[in-house]
Amino acid sequence: MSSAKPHTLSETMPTGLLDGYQVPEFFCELMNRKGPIPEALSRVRSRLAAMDVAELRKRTASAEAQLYSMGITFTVYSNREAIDRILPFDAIPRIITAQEWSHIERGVQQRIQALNLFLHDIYHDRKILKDGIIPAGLVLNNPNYCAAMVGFKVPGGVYVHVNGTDLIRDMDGRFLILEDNARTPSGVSYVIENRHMMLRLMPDLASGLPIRSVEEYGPRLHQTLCEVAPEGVLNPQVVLLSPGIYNSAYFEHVFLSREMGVPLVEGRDLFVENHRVYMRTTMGPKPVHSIYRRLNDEFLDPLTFNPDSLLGVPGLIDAYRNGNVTLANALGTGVADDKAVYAYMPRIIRYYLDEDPILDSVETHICAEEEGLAYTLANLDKLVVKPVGESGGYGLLIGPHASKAELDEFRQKLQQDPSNYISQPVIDLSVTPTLCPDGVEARHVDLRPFALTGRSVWVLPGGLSRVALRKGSLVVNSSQGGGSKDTWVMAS
Amino acid sequence: MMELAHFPLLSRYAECMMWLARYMERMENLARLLEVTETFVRDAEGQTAWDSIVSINSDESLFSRLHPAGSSADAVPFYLTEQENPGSMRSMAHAIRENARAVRPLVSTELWTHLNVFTRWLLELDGTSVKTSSLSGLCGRIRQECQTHYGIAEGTLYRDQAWLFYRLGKHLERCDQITRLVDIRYHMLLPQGEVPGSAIDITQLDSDPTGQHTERNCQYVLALYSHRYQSDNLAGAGIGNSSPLHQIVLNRTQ
Repeated sequence: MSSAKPHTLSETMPTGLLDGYQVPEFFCELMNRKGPIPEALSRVRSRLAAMDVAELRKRTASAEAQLYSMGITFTVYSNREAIDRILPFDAIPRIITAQEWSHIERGVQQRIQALNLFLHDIYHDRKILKDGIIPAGLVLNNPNYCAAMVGFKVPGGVYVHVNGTDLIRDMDGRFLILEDNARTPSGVSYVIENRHMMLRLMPDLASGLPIRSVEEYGPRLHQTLCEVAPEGVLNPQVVLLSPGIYNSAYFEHVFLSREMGVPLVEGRDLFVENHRVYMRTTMGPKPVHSIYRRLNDEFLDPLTFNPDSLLGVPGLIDAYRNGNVTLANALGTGVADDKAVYAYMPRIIRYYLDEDPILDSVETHICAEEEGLAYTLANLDKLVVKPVGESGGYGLLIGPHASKAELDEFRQKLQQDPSNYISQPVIDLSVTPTLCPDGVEARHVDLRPFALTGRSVWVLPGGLSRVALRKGSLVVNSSQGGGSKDTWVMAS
Repeated sequence: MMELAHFPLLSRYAECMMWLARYMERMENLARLLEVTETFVRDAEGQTAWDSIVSINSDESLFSRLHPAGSSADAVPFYLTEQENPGSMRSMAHAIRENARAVRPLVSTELWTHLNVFTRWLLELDGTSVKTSSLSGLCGRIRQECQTHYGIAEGTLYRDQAWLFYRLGKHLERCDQITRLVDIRYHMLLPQGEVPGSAIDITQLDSDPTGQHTERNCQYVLALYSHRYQSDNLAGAGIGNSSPLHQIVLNRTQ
């Protein structure tokens, strides 16, 4: 090497990946466990320590170029132009020990059982409302409460077939449930593609470690959809219903239909005749029995919901209510993952299962209630305030990071429409070492495990670890500058 | 074992596979035409050569609407980057991309990845920066990418109905292109009193690197035409011996 340009420090002296890492006061998944280092972590740590930053940067650039070329992207459309963006990928994995995972797994299973029982109840006997556990108005006047589901029996009593649970860890490393995603949760394709990428990119890091596989998801999803098909159908035809190529999650729809080996259909590929659903094929109509729909409730059937929607299938809800086709997830599940209902989840779990919640929730104040509003207004600068209807990290206020003017503005919004908001204390999210422009630094991270429910609840041993790439940021959503990491659940 | 071709295919997939292949074939042809014509233009004799591309593609009215006072050199951006022209490289790249996106669940990752990179490159092409001098290199790359695509398609697609529709689209377009070539060859040559086999004639056939293949293909298509003309006995309807195609057929088969 006889280059004339001046050498930078990293070029002349290879530095260990973790050498310059400033261990934060937060719980750090890798470097500050607030206790002894689990065996599963120490090997990864020593292997990482032996790598250098320049090499990692090179590999990361190659990974991102591959993701872009392979079209593992979400697409943003503006001015008739399609812009493909990748979810930024960080090559330092996030590790979950076997013990931590068994806790998460049981907690998620319990939560989903309760969600399904809750949904069945509020669309049938409404015992939980009559017993005053949760205010009836909160459920029955909820915009996501679906009148078409009242009294309708879904196959196997399953409403939430596919669920994503957002988990965070606090200062002490305790896992807390931040949010349920019981409608059409997305992101699982990144869990699997991140793993593929990781094994190509960092074989030296992964070699010989007891990392649990995430490959089973596709076949399991197919099996789940077969299990909940209408009774008496021997070989159910499963399809994935997508809004089409213009949807930002289209890549995931493609990915999942390929993994399951089922057609990826759009509304115009399906039609309803005699209360049954068919798809249009080169060999005539073919019956469809189970639909994994990645279309929100209001677009599914223009005859029942939004009459202007061109994405749906006229008559689909009629076929559904006649028991000739299964929709996964069921209609009207949005009421269960509502941010206001979330506050009642610990009570909902106790009510139906007579058990304490295995995974804790974040303490939540409901601004629709007088006490909650008063507390929120008095402590605005210390709280995170979220609008209940929004998702994707939009419209929220992080009190400690807000200016005086922002606080005042939000205070007004709260007073005008209190029932639209909940508030929670700011959780000091755990961090994990992440490759940043200035080296490896601590960044906040969350975890979204995915669970499938047919005859039983199965949790994919892994999950989407989203990283807030901006220094100090607590917002991990991809629409707000988040990236992702591979999540290694260790078998031992 | 059940034949893959007996499995029903979503009708929309069939349509998109056909169009994907058609556009790829059309794009490769256009690249050949542009490249050959450019070589032609360097020759003082061939001043009107760009016009013939416009006629081959029956784009006369669109071209004169977009370039009312345009010189024949406007044909290059018209066929490379003009968004209003559905037959420009850019528009075709867009169509290929959207069709490929739609059939992505059916095709191999390699096939999609290649098209993804290729079409993105074409879409980002800046028309004003393409000098006539670099046109040949550009067209060369387009042809090569098209051929790479055929190789990936041949090597990775299942032999199912999707494959059959893909082949249908490709050959349909090839027939279309050949008849256009034959027609324009006639259109260009006869008024000037040239005879088959002249420099211009040979150059047109050379748009296929192995001109002989084109010639053989031409003969095949022309034979088909000839057969149809004879069996339909259209001579009485004014499409007899005076028809241009018919004359060419006679020329070639003698």
